[in-house]
Amino acid sequence: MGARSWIRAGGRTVTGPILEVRGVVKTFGGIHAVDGCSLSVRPRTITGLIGPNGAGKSTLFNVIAGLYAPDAGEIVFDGRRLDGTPAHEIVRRGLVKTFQIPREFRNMTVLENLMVVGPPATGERIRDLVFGPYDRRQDEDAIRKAERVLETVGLRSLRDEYARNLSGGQKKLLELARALMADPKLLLLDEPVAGVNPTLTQHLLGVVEGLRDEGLTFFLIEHDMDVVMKRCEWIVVMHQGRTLAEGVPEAIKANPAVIDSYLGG
Amino acid sequence: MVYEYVVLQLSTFVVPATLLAILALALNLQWGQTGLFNAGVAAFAGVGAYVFGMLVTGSFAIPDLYWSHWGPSEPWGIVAAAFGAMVFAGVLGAIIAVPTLRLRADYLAIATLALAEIVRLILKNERALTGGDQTLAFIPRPLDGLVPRGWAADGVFMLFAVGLMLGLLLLMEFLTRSPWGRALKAVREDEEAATALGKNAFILKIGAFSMGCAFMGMYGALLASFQGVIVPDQFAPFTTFIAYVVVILGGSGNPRGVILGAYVFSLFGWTTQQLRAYLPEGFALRIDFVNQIVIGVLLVVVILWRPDGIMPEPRFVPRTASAWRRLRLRPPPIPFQWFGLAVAWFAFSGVGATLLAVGIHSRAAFGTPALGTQVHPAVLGIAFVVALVAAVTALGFTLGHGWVRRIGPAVALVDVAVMLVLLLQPSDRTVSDFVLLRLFAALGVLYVFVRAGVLRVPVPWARARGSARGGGP
Repeated sequence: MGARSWIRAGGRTVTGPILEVRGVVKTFGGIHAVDGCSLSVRPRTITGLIGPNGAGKSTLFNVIAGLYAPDAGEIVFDGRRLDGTPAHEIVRRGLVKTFQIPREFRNMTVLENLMVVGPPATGERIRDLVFGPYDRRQDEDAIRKAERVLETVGLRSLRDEYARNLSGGQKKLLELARALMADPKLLLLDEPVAGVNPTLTQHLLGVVEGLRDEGLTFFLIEHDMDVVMKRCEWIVVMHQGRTLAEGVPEAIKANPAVIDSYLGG
Repeated sequence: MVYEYVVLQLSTFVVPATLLAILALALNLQWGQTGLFNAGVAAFAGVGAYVFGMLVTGSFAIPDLYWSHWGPSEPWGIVAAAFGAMVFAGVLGAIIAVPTLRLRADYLAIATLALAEIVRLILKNERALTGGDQTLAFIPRPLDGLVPRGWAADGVFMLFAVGLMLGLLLLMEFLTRSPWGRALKAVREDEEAATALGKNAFILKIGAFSMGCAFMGMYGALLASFQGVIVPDQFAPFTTFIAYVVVILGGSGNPRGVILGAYVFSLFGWTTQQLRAYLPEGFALRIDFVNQIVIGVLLVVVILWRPDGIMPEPRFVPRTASAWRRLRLRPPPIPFQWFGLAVAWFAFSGVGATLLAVGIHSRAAFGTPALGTQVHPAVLGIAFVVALVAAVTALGFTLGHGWVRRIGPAVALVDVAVMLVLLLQPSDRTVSDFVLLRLFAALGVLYVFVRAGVLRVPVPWARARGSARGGGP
């Protein structure tokens, strides 16, 4: 077993897109937050999602992750329909979303935060505890795995600290680490570096690129154009709930519609 | 006799405190662990008390069949009725939780608050079933008719209640450390984040809620059994309030803290009751009201200065070394640990039997067939001390593995329960019962060991889903 064998995504060549969104609509009252959005994400890439405030980016992420049910359209992940699947099932299929504002489990330690997620635990149902194959040693496996993930993101020294005591940037890293515990194929990151100092930003993006090289796919919302243009291979622009443009960074930078609605002169 | 007085006085404090601790442990699973605001604790306690009372006194039965009237001296009938009360309360909890838990948290509070009043009013008005305000009376205690009412019965009930509380504590400690408990905690901290990380928050909440309700039902059954008489107004919203005070005072999320909270809280009430005789007349009459004021002030003080309670939820730090290694000692070989556990088992049952014999005073210790003989208190005292020393020494040998160590007291409690039944059986059934009950106890303990992964036995359920250990390299 290799050093990073806990990441499941590698070892398989996927030619088509790993995620495909087709005509998704989500309305709140009369407001069309996502209004017939279509896009696709290719595997083993870092794909950026940009657009002005209120373009529906976060809503789209929530729809993909199953936290909101779409009003219309379909979502295909890894060759199978995703819409209509409960959020907790979606995670098991390998798609995990992090939150824009870190939502750490405040009164749990960093290690505990990670252990909540993986490995897909027996012993999480009363039935398993009483009759099923629950074994306390699986906790030890979870701890070892969590320690490897903490090593990857550079939070090892804060293992037993309460999550509430972490700084804003460290909380972002914790979000990423927690998502990695679920052995994802595709990670949706909602503004992963907003409010994070430049050093930590570089560290975090380094982690993301390292994981991409190992076979994970990232789809991220970001407002920092330096980050997006330098680190993303593919960019999707959303405007008023729809896809405005898709392409490589250079093409997006030159696209007049994008300049008009978002990038500015 | 001195110890008669001591047992009697002690049980007036220990029994109510222990029952309150059981109620608080149940609430702690819902509120402390999962963050579910159950405003209808009284309803589930009341339902438990009344279902138990009705089953056991026969009020519930069709008169010509009268199947549910087991009579006061059948311990298993009472256990079955208590189990029925738990199931009923648990199912009621699930029924109320399914529609409300999908909504925002506040709705659960509103629904349970309303439920509490509905239940109380039904109990008050369905007189044919519950007796209404005329009380439901003649609810037996376990082993009634074998132990004379009075100090002996109180002493036996005290042991019984404390045993149940410790059993529940062990269960809760196990559950809070299990992946299930961790997932509940995650739901408490942030439900949406937990869902986004693959937790089925709804199922988790239903499970925790109905399990808590079932144990509230158990509290109700115990209370009914202890009092012998219940009235609907006992289960007014004040019960719910008390349960919350205890959980917050003790330390929300920490089962041990919650028990401490219940004892501290009860000690306060008990002390003022004891002082009543020495207080000036006008003040003595108002002491109950003063109590309630002081409790309120106490709660405010705790929330201001110690918001996490007397004994806050412990920080999770995984243990990497066994107790022996932490003491820088080499653990004894496994067979010695098992031997130590066996000795602890029998020694503790000796402690239990001695205590029982003290309580009953008319039967010999250690299950010898000398039923009905008087035992000199000095003999019992020596037996008690010897057994206790043996128990503690033997437990020392079992420090090696977390579960061997933890299981010791549980084993002893099971055995005490067995001895309790044995000592009080008519003599002609003693031998067969002794063998059977010991066997059952041993099987139960073995089961716990296998489940906890201490014993490696190739049992079918361990292989049910391939490797149980997940995908660690």
